Amino acid sequence: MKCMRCSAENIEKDDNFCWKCGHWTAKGFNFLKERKNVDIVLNGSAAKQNNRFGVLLGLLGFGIILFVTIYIIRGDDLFKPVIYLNKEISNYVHGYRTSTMKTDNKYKEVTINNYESAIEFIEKDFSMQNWLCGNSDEVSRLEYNLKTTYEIPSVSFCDLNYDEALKINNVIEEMYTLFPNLKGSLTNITIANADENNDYIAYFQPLYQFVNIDADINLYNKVNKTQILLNSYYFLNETMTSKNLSTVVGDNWYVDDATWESTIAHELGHALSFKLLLQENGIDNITFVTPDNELQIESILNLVNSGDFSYDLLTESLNNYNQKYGTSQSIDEFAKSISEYASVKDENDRIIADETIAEAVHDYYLHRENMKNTSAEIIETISAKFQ
Amino acid sequence: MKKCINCKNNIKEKDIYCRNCGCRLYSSFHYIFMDIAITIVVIGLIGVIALLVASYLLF
Repeated sequence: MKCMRCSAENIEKDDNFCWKCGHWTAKGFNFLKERKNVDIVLNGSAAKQNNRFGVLLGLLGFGIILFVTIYIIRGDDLFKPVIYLNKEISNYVHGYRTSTMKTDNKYKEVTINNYESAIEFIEKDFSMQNWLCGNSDEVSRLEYNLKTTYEIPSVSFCDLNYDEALKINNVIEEMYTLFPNLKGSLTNITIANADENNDYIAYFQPLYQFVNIDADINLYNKVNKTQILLNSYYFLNETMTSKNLSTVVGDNWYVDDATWESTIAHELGHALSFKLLLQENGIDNITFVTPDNELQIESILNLVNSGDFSYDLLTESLNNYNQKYGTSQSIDEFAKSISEYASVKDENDRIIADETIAEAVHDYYLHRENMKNTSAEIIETISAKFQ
Repeated sequence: MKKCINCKNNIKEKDIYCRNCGCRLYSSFHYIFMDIAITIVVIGLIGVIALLVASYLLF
């Protein structure tokens, strides 16, 4: 027999319904005339099971509406328990507190038309992540104060406790007071996770390629950061910062009386010599890269990497020093008199003058007029060039 | 031979509807999937409410 509706073959005489479309057969018509048979079809376990699809859709719809409503009410704070749990798991896995902030984002195919937009984009990269941080209002106020007073587009003390944030804040404020030329030299100061947990305590990076790094400069302008990163391994973990710095890095590595926070003064010393390098090369910043200045910025980067600019500064300071004090110190002796770190050498056995200058600045920050004479000479040379 | 879950009538290999009671026939995977899906959605709903409560309690 064939089905009346869909013409399916193989309908048997005992079949109440078509096996293919479910339409009743002639026998099925009589089957459905009896009430009890209708009840079997409508209220049987299959019907109940099949209704579950409706239940699933209903629950799903309700769940979506509920979630959207809750998100509208609570905003991003809704996810704070998840962030908190994530942090705790990360801290457990690493064995120390880490930062949730991602400081190594890179962006492609973004149109940036001017310097102000470049700065805005850098700010946005960090401000979009602020909700991940458990900062108190007091810490947020410190960040805001540094940003606005010293023209640092982004300052992030993500998850830093207030006491530590205040210490760091005080170092930065004092350094900017001692060296007003630092203003405008940085795009951001941020707590970051180093690749290896003890890679650095703090790190000045003169050029971090941030936006459109591999793009054709004629299609997209580029953006670089000039930043100081503060290693979360130290600054977020009181078990580290409660120790004396010298017990971790060794005696005499830094200048006398150095602290965890004062190492930031060392990094700002790098920023200072970098600012001077830019000034001497007639350029304001390397943040916003266009076809007009790309080559110039590349040459700046080469100059930074060679260390020649700082080495010349150091040599000049040494000559002035030897003349002033009637000595004939070598550059090695000159540097070593500041600290061990000031006298590190590169693979060509040449003093890394950037570190010598940064340590001299560090010495000045910590000791002022009581700094070493060698440091004083370097500070004098730099200050004269900024006049 | 498979049986209809509604009326326990025997089902043939290619049958889409039960020949006896006319109910739509699904594989057991379908019913298992429904059970799991509904469980997940209910857990999700409870999770969202728990998230809301936790966000107020902790922050």
